[in-house]
Amino acid sequence: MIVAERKPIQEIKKMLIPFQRILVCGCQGCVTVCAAGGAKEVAVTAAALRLAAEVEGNSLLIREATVERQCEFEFVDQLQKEITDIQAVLSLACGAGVQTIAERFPHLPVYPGVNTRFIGLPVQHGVWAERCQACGECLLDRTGGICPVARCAKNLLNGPCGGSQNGKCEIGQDLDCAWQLIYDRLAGLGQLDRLREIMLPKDWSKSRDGGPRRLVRRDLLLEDEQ
Amino acid sequence: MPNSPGATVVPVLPRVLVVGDGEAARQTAELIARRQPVTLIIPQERLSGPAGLVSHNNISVCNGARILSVHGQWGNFAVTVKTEGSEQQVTAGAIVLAMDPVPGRLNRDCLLPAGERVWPLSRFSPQAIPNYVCSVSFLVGAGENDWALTFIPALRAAVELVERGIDVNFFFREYRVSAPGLEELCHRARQAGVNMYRYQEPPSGRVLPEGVALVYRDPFLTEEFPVLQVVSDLLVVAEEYALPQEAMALAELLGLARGASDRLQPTNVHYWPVKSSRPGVYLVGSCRDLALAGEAWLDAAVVASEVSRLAGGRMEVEAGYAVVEPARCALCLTCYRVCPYRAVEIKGQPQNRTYGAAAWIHPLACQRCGLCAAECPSAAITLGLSNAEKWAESQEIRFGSSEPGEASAVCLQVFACANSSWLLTRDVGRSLESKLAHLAGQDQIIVQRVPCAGQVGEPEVLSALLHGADGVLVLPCYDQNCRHRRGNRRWHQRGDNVSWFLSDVGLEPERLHWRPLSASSHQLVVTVNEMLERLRALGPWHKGRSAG
Repeated sequence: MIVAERKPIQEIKKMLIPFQRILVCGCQGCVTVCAAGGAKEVAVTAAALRLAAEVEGNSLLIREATVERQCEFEFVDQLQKEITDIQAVLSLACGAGVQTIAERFPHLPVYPGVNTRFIGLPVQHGVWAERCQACGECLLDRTGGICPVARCAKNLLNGPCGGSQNGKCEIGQDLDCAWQLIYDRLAGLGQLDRLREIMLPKDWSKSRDGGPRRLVRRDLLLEDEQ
Repeated sequence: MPNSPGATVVPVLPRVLVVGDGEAARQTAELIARRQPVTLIIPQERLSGPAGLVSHNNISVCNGARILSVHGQWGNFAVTVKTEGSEQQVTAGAIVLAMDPVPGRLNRDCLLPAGERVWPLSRFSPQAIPNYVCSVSFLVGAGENDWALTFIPALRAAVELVERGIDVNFFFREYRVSAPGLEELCHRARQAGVNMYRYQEPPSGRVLPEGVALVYRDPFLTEEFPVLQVVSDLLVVAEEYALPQEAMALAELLGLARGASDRLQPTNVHYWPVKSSRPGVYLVGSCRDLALAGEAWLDAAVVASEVSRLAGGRMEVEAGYAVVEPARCALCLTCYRVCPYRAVEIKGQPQNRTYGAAAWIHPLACQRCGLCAAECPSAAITLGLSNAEKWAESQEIRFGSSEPGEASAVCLQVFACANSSWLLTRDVGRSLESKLAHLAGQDQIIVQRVPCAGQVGEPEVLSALLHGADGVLVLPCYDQNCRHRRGNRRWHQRGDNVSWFLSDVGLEPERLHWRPLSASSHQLVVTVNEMLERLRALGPWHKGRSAG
C-alpha cells in the first residue's frame, strides 16, 4: 500500500489561513489502512481545526467527507454536493488523491493534510517499512523476492558494498543490509548459484529518470475514448 | 427468543474439548462429563498417563492425537485433530488445556551429572533400590514453580525409605507447607528420622567408589561447623519441570497471551482462576502456572462450572458488544490485531463494495472493552447500542453548580475506567460523591464512564474540549490490572501523543493529565483537586483567549 503520515496541525493551519469554509476529505483506500487519512483521521483533523480556530477566536465551518478512493474521478465527483459553499479542500489522501481533486475542481484550492511517504507494508502494527520504489522494471525474480532497488540505500544490483557490517547497513543499525537478506534467503532456497549471474546496468528510463510515467493498455480503452 | 429485550441468542455447542494426558485432564473430563459431552484429546507419545484410564459414557477419547488447527470462537470452535495418519474435525463450545508438566534436566542445584549413583527423581522408586543401598540422599532444588511436583514426592519417598530402616538425608533450599497435607508430611518425616538439611549455597558433590559425598555448609552455624560432608550410597535428584512442547504449540495455535516465565495465563488478576486470554479457552493447574500443579482438582471444578453455561445449547448475549458496519470496513486489520480477546474474524460481506469482505466481531467473545472502536481508522465500529450518544450521556455524572462556558469558572472532564475509578466516584459509602461536589464549588466536574481507558484517544479528548471542558483527566487502571489486559497500556502509549497534539492545536498540554487509580484508591479526591487547581491557574481556554 501507499504509506502516508499526518502533517502537524500548525502546518495545516498556515495553509488554510485565508479560508473560513473548509472540506476535510479522507480516502477509504491506503491512507485509511495506514491510519493517516480515513474517516477517523478526518474527524480528528476537523475537531483539531475547530479547536484551533476557537482558541484564536476565529469562526470556521468545517465539513467532513471520506470517499471510496480519492484517486478516481468518479468517486471524487461525488463530492460535488459537499463543495457548493466550500472555499478550500484539505485532502488527507496520498498525493494522487490531492491531484485528482485539483484536476476535477479547477476553481477550488486543495491542500495536502498528509505527507505521502512510500510504498510499503506494516512490519508490525504501527511500524511501516518501504518495500517498492516503483522502478518500472521488476527484478525480484533474480533476488529471491527481496528488492535491492528499494531496500539497499545505494540501489546496488550485484551484491553489498563495504558498508555492510554484521547484516546491517552502514546508514543505521535499524536497517538490514538488503544484500545480506538476499544472500540468506537464496541460501535457504538452495539458489545461491543465481548470484553468479551478473546484472547489467538497469534501464532507469522506466523509473523516475525517464520523466513522469504513463501507462496505456489499448485493450482496456473504451471505444469512444480511443 | 431471548428473555431480556435487546439481547441476542447465540447457538452454542455443549461439547467441551479437554486436552491432556494426566490426572488433571482425567479429573476435568470426568467432572464436565456429568453435565455435558466431552472429547478428551490425549497428545501423542503420552498414552500411559492416567487420563487414558477415564471411563464415562459421556467422554469420547482421542488417543495419540495432535491438534493441527483451531478455528472459531467461544461456543463454536472447530478443531482439526490428526490421529495415526487420519485427520478428523472436532467441534466444541469450549477448550480446556489440562496438560501435565514433564521433567527435564536435573535441578540446577545439583552439580553432579546423572549416573550410576546419581538418579533422577522421576525414575526413582523406593521399591526398586539395589540391595547394597543403606543410605540415600535427596536433593530438591531451586525451582520455584514445581513445588508440588518434586518436593512432595521426594519427601514421601524419603519417609518410606526411613521407615524401612534406610538412612535418609534430605537437602532442600526452601520449605513450604502451602500444599494440602504437606505440613503433616513434613512433621512425619522429622518424627521418622529423615535428616533435613536446608541450604543456601548448593552442596558441592563428588562421586566416590563407596558412594556420593555432598559437602554442605550450614547457613546458620557457619562459625562452629563450617562444613559437613554427608556420604550416602545413592543420590536422588529432583528434575526441573516444564510444560510439554504440545502445550506451547497449542497455546500458539490459539494465540494465547502468556504471562511471565512461559506461564500460559497472563499475569493479571482478572484471569483468575481459570481463564485464558481467549474467551472459551480455560487453563487447569500447571497450564496456568507450574506452581499450581497440586491444585488442578480445584481448577477442574471451576472449569466444569464455567463451561456448564454451554450445556443448554444456547447463550444469551446482552446488547453492547462491538459491531462493525461492513460497508465502512477498509479491511485494515486494526481491530483484528488490537482485540485482546481475538474476537475478530474476517468474513465475506457483500455490503462491502470494495472488498466483499469485512471484519466481524463475535458477540460472545467480545468483552466490550471498545479498543477496536477507538482505533478503527474507518470509524466503522460501534459498541452495539443503536444510539451510542444516548448511552454515553446516561453514563456520566456532573458535579458543581456552573454551566460549561460560564465566565471564570472552569470545567473538568474526567474519563473514568468502568473497572476502577468510575466505581470510586460512585462509592457513596465513602462519601466521595459529596467530596467531589464540594471540590467543584463554582466550577464543574463531569465524570464520564468509559469501558476501558484504552477507549480514550484524540477524538474523545478533542470532543470534550470542544464541548466546553477546559481540561481532561484520564483515570486508567494500574499496569497488569487492566480487565482487558492491555487497554490501559494503549492509553499510556497514546497519552503523550495526545498532549503533543494539544500543543500543536495551540492549547497548553497541561490541560490533559492522567494517572492510574485502583478501585480502592484514596487518591481520587487529591488527583481531581490537583487537576482543578491546575485548570484554575490556566483559566478557561475559550473565553480568555477570544477576549485577548
